[in-house]
Amino acid sequence: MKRRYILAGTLAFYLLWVKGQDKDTFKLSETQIDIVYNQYVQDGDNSAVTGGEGTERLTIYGPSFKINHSFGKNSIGIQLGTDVISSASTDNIDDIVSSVSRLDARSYADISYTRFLEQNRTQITAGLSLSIESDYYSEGKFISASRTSPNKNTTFSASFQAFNDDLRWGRLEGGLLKDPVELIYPAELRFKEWYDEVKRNTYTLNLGVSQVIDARNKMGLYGLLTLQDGLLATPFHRVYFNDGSLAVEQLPDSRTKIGLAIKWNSFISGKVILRNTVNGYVDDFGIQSVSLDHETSVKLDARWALSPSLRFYTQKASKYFAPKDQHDVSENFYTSDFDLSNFQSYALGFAVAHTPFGKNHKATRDFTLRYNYYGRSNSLTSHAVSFRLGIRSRPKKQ
Amino acid sequence: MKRYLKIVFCLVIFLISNSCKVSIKPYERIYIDDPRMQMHITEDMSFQHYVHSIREGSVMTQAEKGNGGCGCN
Repeated sequence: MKRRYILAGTLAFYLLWVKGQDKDTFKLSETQIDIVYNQYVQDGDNSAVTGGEGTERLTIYGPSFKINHSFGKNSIGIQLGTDVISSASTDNIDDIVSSVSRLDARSYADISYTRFLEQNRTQITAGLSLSIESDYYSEGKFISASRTSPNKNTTFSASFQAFNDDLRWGRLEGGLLKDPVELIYPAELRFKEWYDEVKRNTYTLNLGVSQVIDARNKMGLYGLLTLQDGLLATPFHRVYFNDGSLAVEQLPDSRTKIGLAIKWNSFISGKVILRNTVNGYVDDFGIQSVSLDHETSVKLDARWALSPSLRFYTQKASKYFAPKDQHDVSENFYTSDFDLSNFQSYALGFAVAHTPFGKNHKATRDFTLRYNYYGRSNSLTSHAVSFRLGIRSRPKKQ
Repeated sequence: MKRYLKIVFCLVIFLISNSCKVSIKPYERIYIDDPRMQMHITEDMSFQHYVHSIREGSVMTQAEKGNGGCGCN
């Protein structure tokens, strides 16, 4: 009889102890690594460096490394990367063939801290970024927050980014982080200073809300507002006027950009996911655009998925754009950069993804290989390949 | 422009109000919680968005480096 009372009492005490257990006692730590390599090859005939006519051949080799370590309610992320750029068009800034302007490298790094609150329903992230190349230096700050409803069906998100850039050349000459020297103009136009400003500031606000519609459909609405000021033109872009004279590109010292996107993701038939996005954009340079993105992700089995994608884009030109020899010298602002012209483009892509499957591993590995072909109505074409390898340690109890 | 903003405002209210009506059981969330169903841009897709932000006059919403940080538009 006494044994029964002791057993019942022990069981009751155990149940009471479990019920009063703090949910956060078991803190988990996890490390996530992403190794990414991007290769980009481009060709075209409308280089802005040579006034809207000339080769746009360019190759980018872009490795990057990202590590994210989460511990309890905190997470720290670091990203390092470089884009090695070989460009035939920037080789035409001066008259020397295969000069130093043919090859350049942009190195970048960012660090971020994330705090999870309220049983992971709220997340706040803050971070700093740095980017440097021979003629461009950028310091960035960003903060973002997201909050999910208790039923996990609605998520609100907001982020703010600020970039403070310097367009002068010289920080990498004869060492690292030397004092900047000057703006780089085309060789024949270096007889005067064409701009009063050497810096550029960019401020971007992103807002979004996603909503679960039913068990297989989710929609999202996202908005963007960007304000820029400072030197918004590119110093080494040439502009040829209708009277045969030549000048450096001139653009206003402020720009406002507004974007809106609607997303709809749908899981159909148990193995197929449809991802759709419509993007609208307008700015005070006169550019208006719409893009339609679609990706179909097909799960072949528990490990493999194939994802063909399609994108269509149409753009109305900036009011400051005109092709070579069509600008008038009386204009205050002028550019022959075909990235700001009237055009339509389409992109065809394909991705293969492998997700880990199985137990008894200290770390899981997954990878994605993506190819994308891009074609523009004004003859620019490009090929891009991206490979991402993800390594994730199993969550460990701290 | 005002009509456009009104439509967007109504869409936001519609999305938010529907959160009160949708009820999904835990075993039904396997589809909604699938990684490919999430709205964020993955690492392998972010490079495509970066290329588009350089080669086009516009910026894609949610793009990580749509502005600043490089000598592009």
